[in-house]
Amino acid sequence: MAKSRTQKIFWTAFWEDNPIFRQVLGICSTLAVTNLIVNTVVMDLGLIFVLVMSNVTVSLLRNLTPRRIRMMVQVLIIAAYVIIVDLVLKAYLPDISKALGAYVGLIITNCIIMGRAEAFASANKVYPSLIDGLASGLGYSVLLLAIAVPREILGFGTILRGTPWAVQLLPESTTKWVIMVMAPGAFFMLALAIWIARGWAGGAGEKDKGTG
Amino acid sequence: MSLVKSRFFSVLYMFLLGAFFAGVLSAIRVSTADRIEDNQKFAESANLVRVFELARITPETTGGDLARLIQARIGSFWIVQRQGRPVCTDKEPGGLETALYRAWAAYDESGAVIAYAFPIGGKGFWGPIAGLLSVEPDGETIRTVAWTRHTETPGLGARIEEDAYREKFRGRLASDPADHRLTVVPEGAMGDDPHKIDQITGATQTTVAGMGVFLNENFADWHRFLPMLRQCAQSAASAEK
Repeated sequence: MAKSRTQKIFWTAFWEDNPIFRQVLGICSTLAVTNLIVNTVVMDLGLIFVLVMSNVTVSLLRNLTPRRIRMMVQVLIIAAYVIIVDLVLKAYLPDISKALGAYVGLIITNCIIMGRAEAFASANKVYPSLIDGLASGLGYSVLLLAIAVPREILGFGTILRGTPWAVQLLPESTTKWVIMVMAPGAFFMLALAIWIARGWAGGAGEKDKGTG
Repeated sequence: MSLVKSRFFSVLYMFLLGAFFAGVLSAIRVSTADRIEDNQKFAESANLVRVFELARITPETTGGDLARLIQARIGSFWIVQRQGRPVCTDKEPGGLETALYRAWAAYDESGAVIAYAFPIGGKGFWGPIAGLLSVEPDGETIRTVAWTRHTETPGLGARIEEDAYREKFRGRLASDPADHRLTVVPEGAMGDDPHKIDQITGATQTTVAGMGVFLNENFADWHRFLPMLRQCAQSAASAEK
């Protein structure tokens, strides 16, 4: 019984209420970091960590937190975890920290984190909140990677550019789709990803949340 | 009214939670401070070695290796304001002295200057860009560039850091803009003209509006202090002998 509920929470957060193609949240970071796979992966890991930890903390404190200041408390908690990610990257992965620059700090502005804290963690127990955070983060990550891979291949002709495992997929002589690494390319790919995912998931439009 | 619903509790709760997280963050900050400082020092030293092309930086390179190399082959120089006029020194300015400029010289084993480096930087698209640029002993012919700090868009403006783009600087001229300005031209159009450098398509704000402007300002400063720095670097080499 407990297992099926966990599965339901996971599947709902991961796919049925996917933050990107259903709720259309976290779009700033989606547009900004998806021109390179490596940056996308680090942003995904950072977001999953902050999402899981903030969900767990908000859930732990849910019976103690006065309702009138709950959003201040959530912002405080999220900001603290984002600073932890920033410090850890600076100390242990300085190259990645330098490459991501301001984007790490911008995790705090990602509406998905605040959204899950407010909509789920503030009203549920710790374990379901952990699962919800993890699944939302994974749902965000999968969609971001689905956007990042074609953008990097078409824009740079590479996979994992900027890492020791970089592979040149398209010959250097190929004309690169420069627009793919620019902001308009991100909009095109995001729209395409949303269209495909909604079409695949079925019932396109039925579950629209109307959020921005 | 229950305690949890009282305003006093809200204030106290927020204060305690803030204090708790401030404590946690302080502890993490303290425990990572040395490592972050070491990383920053390593990055600064690596950039200096990289801009002079004295050694290849590999994952095995340690901070100690870089420090020894810098000690043996690189001299640091400052232009300071003393009694109302600029003076060149190889001593780091202290007390009330104001540093007007800083540059470096790399020497070969015989003590001859093989290159100079000076700071470059200015306004980028998202924030300040800073780096070092090395020139041949003639003071004009660019060897390479090493960017130390920027917040440009990964995959776009941040491509100024890629080796392929840095290589485009080689052989260009860091001339005094009063004589000849360096112009940023559309990607692929620079050809052999030593006064032109390619932009990065898609990063116009970083390369044309940013780099294209600040490099010429940096070159003007460099040429203003070059005669003093050249003399200073040569005297330091003679004193070393």
